[in-house]
Amino acid sequence: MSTLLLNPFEKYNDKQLLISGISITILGSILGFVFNANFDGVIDLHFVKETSFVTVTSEIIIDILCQTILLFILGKYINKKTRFVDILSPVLIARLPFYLLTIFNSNDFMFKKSENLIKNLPLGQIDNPDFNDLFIMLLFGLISIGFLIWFVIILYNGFKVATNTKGVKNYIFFAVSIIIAEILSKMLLIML
Amino acid sequence: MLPIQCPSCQNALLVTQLSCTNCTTSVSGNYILPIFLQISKEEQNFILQFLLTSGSLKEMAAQMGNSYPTVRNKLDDIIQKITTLQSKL
Repeated sequence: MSTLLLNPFEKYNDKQLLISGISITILGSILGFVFNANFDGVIDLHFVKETSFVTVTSEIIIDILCQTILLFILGKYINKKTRFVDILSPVLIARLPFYLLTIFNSNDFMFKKSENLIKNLPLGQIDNPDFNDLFIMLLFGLISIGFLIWFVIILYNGFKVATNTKGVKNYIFFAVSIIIAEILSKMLLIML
Repeated sequence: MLPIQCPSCQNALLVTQLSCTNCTTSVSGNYILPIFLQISKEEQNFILQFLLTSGSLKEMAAQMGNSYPTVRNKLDDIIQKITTLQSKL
């Protein structure tokens, strides 16, 4: 089970992984639209009042492209035999945790909680917040961190198998590539 | 299974005697093990499989139940190991 959730890339062939990745992406678009989530960055997720299927899908595509291109360039630098499909599949599959997080906004639950907290700020009631809302936001924050770690583990395992990378230096390059992809995706999404 | 490392100090083992089971002639000397025998049994089996599949990593991956990049990485690691062993000769 842990192989399936954390590192399916050693066992399953590229066709199976690609089909799974595409299915997960389609699921992500549907979940994002249903639960009013915007994926406005490679490692970003925000809940909004309303969104469209086209917006969610374009965001997901841009996030995937930014991450894949950067990791592919890094992969080729580490190992010239790195294949594009072996980078694309982990990027597609690793995004599953973000898509699952959208379920927490069922019935606009999380959106309403955050709106409630923000609403109190201009009224100078920052010293008397609704602790219920605060606790829920904090809990969701902790769960989000856990899912973010899950995303990084899946992505790194896929990258490691695709490139046969070894050494601390490449871990650092991998982390930097995620940060650059986040910046690049945000810039592209603002421009579009 | 042919041991390749000293169980006492982990140094590489040499062949010092070969015998004929037919006429009991023995030949003594210091013979370095061929490179193929200096890698682990798992790696030797991998190379055999590589030959038997005519060098098709895709076919090997299907037979071993592993992904193509996993098998390719294993091959690259063995190539690296053999290159290191060759440089020591």
